Amino acid sequence: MESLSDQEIISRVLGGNTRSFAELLERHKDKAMTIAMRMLRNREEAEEAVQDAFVRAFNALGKFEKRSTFSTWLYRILFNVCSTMLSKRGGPPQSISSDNNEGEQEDEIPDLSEIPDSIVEGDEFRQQVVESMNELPPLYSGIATMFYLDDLSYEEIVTITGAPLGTVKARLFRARALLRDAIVRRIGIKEFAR
Amino acid sequence: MNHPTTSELFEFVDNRVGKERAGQIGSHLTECAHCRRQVELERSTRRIVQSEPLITASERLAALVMIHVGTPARDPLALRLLGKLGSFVAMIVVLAVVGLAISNVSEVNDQPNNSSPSITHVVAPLSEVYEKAIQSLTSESSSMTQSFENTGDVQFWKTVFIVALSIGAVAAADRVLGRRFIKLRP
Repeated sequence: MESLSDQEIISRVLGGNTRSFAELLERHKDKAMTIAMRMLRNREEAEEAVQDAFVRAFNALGKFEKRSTFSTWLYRILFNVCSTMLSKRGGPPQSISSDNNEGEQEDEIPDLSEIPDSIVEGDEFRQQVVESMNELPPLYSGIATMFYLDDLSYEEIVTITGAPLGTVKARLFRARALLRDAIVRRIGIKEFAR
Repeated sequence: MNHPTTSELFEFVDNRVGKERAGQIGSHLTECAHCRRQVELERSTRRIVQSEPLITASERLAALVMIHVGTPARDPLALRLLGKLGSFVAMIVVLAVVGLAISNVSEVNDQPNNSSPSITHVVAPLSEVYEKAIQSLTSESSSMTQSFENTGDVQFWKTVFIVALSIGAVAAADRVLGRRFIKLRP
C-alpha cells in the first residue's frame, strides 16, 4: 500500500475497495490539520473541518478530475469548509474572490541590513516565525501555510481558493509582507532596542 | 540600480522573474545588505514553516471519517495481519485461561482439608491435556521443561499468562472497537 500513488489508491476506492481511503486519510490528515488550525485557531473546530473535508472528498471522489493532485483538491474542499466556518463566526468577510482593492502596494519597511546573521539562524528566530504565522489574519495564514508547506505554485492556490490569479498574487504578497513585518517587529523589539 | 520592489524580491525567491531581471536582482543583492536580508528572511521563513512539525490529527478523527464513509479505519493488509496475530493471541489466551484455572483448582485440591475429591476427577483429564500441550510447545527445549518441572516456578508462568491475557484483551478490544491500539504500521 505504501508504494501506491494517491491516484492508484483513488482508483481502488472507486473500484469498491473503500478501506483504501484510510491510506489517503493517513497521508494527508496532518497537513490538512495544520492548515485548518492555522485558519481556525481552535483544535476542536479544526478537527471538525478536517473530518468534514475528508468525508466530502470521499463522497465526491468520482468527480475528482486528475487535473490537479489529490492534496490540492482536498485543500480546496478544506479551504471552503474553513472559510464557511469563519463566516459563521462573523467578523470581516472571508471570501477572497472579489477583493481587487488589495493591490501589491509597496510598504515602508525598516532597514533590514542591521539585522545580524546570528538572529536569523537561531532557535529563537524559528519561534518568532511560528508565532508570527499565528498572528496573521486567518485567511492569510491559511494561504501562507499552504504556499510554504507544500511549495504550492500561485496557480495551485488559484485552484484551491477559486480566486483569480491577480487576487491570489495580491493576497499572497500581503500575507508574506505581513509575516515579514511581524517577524521584523519581533526581532526589532528584542534586538534593535539593545 | 534602484532597489527591487518587495513584490519583485518575493518573485525572485519563487523563481518567477525572467532570466535577465533575475541576473540584475542577483547583482543588486551582492551590493545591498537590506535587500539581501529581505531575501534571506523570506527563504528562512519558508524553510522554517516546512521543517516545523505538523499538527497531528487525532486517531479519533481518522476513525470517525472511516465510520462516516462506511468502513472501519483499517486497510485490508492490516486486517489480514491482525487476523493472523489475533489467531495466535487467541491460542495463547486459551492456554493461559486453562492454565490459570488448572493451577487454581490444583492449589485448592492441595489444601489438607479439601473435601471435594470430585473436582480432581473432573480436572485430571483436562490437566493431562494441558500438560501435554505445554510439553509439546517446549519439546525442542527439554531442559527448559525440566527446569519448569524441577523449580515449579508457577509464579513466573502465571505472570506470563497474565501478560498473554492482557495482550489478548487489547487485541480483542482493537478488533471490536475498530481502533488502533496495536499499530501494525509506523
